[in-house]
Amino acid sequence: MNLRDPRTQLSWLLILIFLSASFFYKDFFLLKNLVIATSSAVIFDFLFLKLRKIELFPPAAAITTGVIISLLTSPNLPFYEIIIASFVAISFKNFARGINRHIFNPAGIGVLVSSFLFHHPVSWWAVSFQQTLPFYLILLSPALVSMVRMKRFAIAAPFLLTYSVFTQFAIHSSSLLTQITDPTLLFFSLVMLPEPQTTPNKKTIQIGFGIFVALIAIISSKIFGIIDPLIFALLAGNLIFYRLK
Amino acid sequence: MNKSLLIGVVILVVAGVFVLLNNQGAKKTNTPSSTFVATTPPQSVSPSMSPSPSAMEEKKVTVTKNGFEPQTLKIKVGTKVTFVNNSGSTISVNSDPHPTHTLFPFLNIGVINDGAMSSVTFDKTGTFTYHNHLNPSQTGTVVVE
Repeated sequence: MNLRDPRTQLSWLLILIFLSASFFYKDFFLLKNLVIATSSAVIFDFLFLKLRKIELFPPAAAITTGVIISLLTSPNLPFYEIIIASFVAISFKNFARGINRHIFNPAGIGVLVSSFLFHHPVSWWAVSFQQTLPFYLILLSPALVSMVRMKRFAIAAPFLLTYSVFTQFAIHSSSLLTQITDPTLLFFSLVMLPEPQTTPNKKTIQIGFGIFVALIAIISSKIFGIIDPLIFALLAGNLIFYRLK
Repeated sequence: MNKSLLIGVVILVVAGVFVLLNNQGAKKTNTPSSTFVATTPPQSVSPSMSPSPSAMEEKKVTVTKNGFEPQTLKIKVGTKVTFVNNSGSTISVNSDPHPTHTLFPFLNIGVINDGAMSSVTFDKTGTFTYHNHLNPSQTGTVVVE
């Protein structure tokens, strides 16, 4: 395992977040979800790569996908729902592809499809550290570094700003700063939104992508009452902006 | 580049500390407020459990495997509502909207272990919606008149 690989570093960071959340909830039995999600994601990735007759390579991306699934899906789910989320994620990663790239954020599509199938909304249980925000921000800061290295800051910043400002208008919620530093929103902005394979490379299009995802998230939540607006909006953005890379 | 990264990280941390301190300040001075009550079984919860000088009313919302019961609770201003977790697993009571919980910050009660309870006092009129963050399909409403 190459520790200098940004995807490997991100995986370790996410595992650390998972362990912290388990500690916060005082339930290390939750580790089983991490093991189930990551191992099934890796196994499915190997199987599908074989099917596609592609040479096997270190499964850093599959591990990242698995860990994100375990961070987002409800900790009380039966094991087969987690496996199906991983299956869907890795299926889309391997088969819903354009030119050399997958179209949808794998973890996003995995958790959203499984939530529709089983009527269990995405929980985001491990990334909602309201009670220990400073610790969480320190924990998440390497993701900020990673995002800047990947040149995806122009996605996250417009998204955060647009989403927070419009949410203030739409639902008159808490202060703008509280909104921007919301743990779930930060995790989405720094980890899920900037996934390099599924997001635009040009700066101007990146800004448009960030604003688009924010507006779709607000509209889908406020007007259509979608329970998981962030992931829905991300996948819509992946689809619409796929051709505009 | 490294400098700007460092600045970004510092801003994030400072913002977090600021928000935390703000929240703590708000908890001390503002109502409604939430208080963790006990980790003991919930049988002892009743309106007469802790009489206060202002004869504060108390209501109970029980969380089972099926969700919050009652799902909609109508109360008067100043009523203390105790959430009792009888679901068999850990729950986390949080304000809507899911997953950001920003609509009614005082309702971000957080984790309640199985068999434990936690209370919040509603000192303003309005309709307050919340959910179990670990199972967001479980939702509830408190109507304060």
